[in-house]
Amino acid sequence: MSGELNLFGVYLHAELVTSAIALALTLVLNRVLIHLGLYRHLWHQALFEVAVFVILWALVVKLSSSWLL
Amino acid sequence: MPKLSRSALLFSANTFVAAMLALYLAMSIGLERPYWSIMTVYIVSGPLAAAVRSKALYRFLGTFVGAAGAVLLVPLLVHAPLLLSLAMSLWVGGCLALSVLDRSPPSYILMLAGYTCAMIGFPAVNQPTAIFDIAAARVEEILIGIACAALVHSLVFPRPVGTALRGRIGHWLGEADRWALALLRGDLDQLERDRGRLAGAVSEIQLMARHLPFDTSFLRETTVVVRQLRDRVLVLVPVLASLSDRLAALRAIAPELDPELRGLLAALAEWVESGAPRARGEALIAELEAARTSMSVRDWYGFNRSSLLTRAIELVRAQADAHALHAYLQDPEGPPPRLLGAGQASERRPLHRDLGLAALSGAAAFGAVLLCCVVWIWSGWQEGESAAITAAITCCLFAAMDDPVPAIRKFGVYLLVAMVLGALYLFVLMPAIGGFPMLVLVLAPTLLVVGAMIPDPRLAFPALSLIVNLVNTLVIQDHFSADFARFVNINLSQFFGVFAAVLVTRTLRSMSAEVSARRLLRHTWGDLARVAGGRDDDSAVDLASRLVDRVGLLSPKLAAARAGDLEGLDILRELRVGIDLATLRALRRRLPQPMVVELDGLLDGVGACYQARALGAPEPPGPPLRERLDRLLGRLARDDLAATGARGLCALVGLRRNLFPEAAPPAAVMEGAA
Repeated sequence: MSGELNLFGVYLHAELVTSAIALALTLVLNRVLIHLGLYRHLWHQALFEVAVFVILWALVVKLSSSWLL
Repeated sequence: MPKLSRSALLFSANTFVAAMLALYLAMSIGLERPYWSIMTVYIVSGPLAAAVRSKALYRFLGTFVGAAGAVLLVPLLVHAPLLLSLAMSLWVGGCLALSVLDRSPPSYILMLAGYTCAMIGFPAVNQPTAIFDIAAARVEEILIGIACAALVHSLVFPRPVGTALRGRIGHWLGEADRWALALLRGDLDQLERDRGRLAGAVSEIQLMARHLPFDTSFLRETTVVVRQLRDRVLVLVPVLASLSDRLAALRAIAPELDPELRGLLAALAEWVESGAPRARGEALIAELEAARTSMSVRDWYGFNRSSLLTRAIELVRAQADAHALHAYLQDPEGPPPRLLGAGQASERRPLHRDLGLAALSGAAAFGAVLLCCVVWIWSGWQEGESAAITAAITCCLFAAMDDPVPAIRKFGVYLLVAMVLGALYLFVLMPAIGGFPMLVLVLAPTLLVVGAMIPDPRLAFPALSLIVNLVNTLVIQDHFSADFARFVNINLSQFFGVFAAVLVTRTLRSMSAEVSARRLLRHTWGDLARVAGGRDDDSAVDLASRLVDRVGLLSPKLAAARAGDLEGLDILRELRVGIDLATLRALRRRLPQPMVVELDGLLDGVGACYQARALGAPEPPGPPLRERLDRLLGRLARDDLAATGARGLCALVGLRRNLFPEAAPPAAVMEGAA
């Protein structure tokens, strides 16, 4: 899946772009979860966050390879 | 050798793992300078996970802005080296000046934007067409370092900032309780320096709270509660300071006080000792208010007594709320506690800022970088770029200090140590090994041992300088086979950078603790003049925040300065005056016309007085001002108190006490009582 993405004439590693999108999504989701007060019920919040990020990243890569690239 | 704690070892191991992960990733995707990733990991890492995460974000943003600056400047001006040097130095100096102005964590962004631009731009002057690729590679290397540091530090036994902050606030409240108890029980007032330390701790709490939204614990959900708590803590310092002043005034008139007041103070002390419960607090406020309204004799003693009771009510409000909020932080289930005091908790409170000093810091960085560039261009020294980069980094890193020169000199010494170690690595160890596992094994002893020193505040600076310089030496190995002449050249050039930074900084902006203390005092006086003149729209809590911050900065400097006229200075006096002036300013609109005229005269007089002091031509508040103040107080003694209310009376009494501590009690008040 490694390749370069042409973003307005600038070539960037595809991983960089997809991970940035996933990170933004994670932050948004985090805001929602904090607002709902879910975090106080979790054992290891940072681990949960990383897991969410990895899942979202996988989703973004999956979707982008089928739709965009 | 300090004792190695478990947390320090854990920190060192964590950071090492993050660094090696970053090194592996950077090498595996074929980046040019994988050692930059290690350097980033060590710069970003800190014992508190939230601080690592916020610093990571700021470092990323700063690097991005700096890289953008280099991409913008270098291709444009590469054919006019002097012009380019000028532009780069201006960029570094400008970014640094803006970042020094603001002491909060986000200011890190601008500082990094400054020296990252130099780090990327200067080495690229020989290949300006490749600047975009170079900048992108540097940003990616730094990004990998940041990501690895944030990942490892938040996953492996993170130390949340929330609990550390909670502990810090709890400790602070304990000290404030002790201060209050000592006052109420009439024990001898403790050292003034302790009060200064307490004020300094407020600013530390404020700055630490800025990391809270990044925390790894659910305490980040309590950010709003912490803000409310911070405001209570801020208010407690001036309230306690003014309480102690009024008590001293009363004891000077009647050492035994009156029975009712004695009873109230004892009840208050008991309440503070029992942990400031809310229900009893409400009852206490009612009792104190009843005692205040039933004031029978309007003499100087009565005025001071009323003023004391006003402050005592404020103390009860702030203490009860602070303890309730702190208890809620221990167990944040259910809705936050109902509070006695009102007030919006804004996101952040202003701290002391010094425009002139910020400009000087920027100018020093500008001068040092430019000096290096000129020597570099004029001599045609190939490795001159290292000098310019080192000058930019050293000027930026130590800009927050009173006198950065000793720290920069020490940085030079660690550079020497790192050079010896680097030579060992480059010429003895590296040629003998092959493969990544061996590299990790070779790096492990040095990085693990030095890394364990970082959590200790006294060793953090040497350890960090050593690691950064060592890794920086290893960087040259990426490009060239270890070439001894080049190695020596680059190190010499770095030394020249340190020398230039010392030279320019010393001529431009080194200052002794005494000079710096006077500067802080002048800023305080200027602030007071602005408040008195109504040219300052900040809320009372904002003003308190700035003044308390200055008291905190001032007290260690006064202890170090030992200058004749600064000795025995009451550093809390300006704080009390500031709060009183703000109160009077806020009351002004609600007063009847004749009193407004009097009050304006008084405020103008006080303002002029502080303005003169701020400008360096001190003019002690003279008898005309005192007479005016006494006339106002006399009016209050005769007329209805409702005009100014208890708060106005409290502020006027406070002004009279703090501006004219030696003068006899106001005669007008005595007549009014007769």
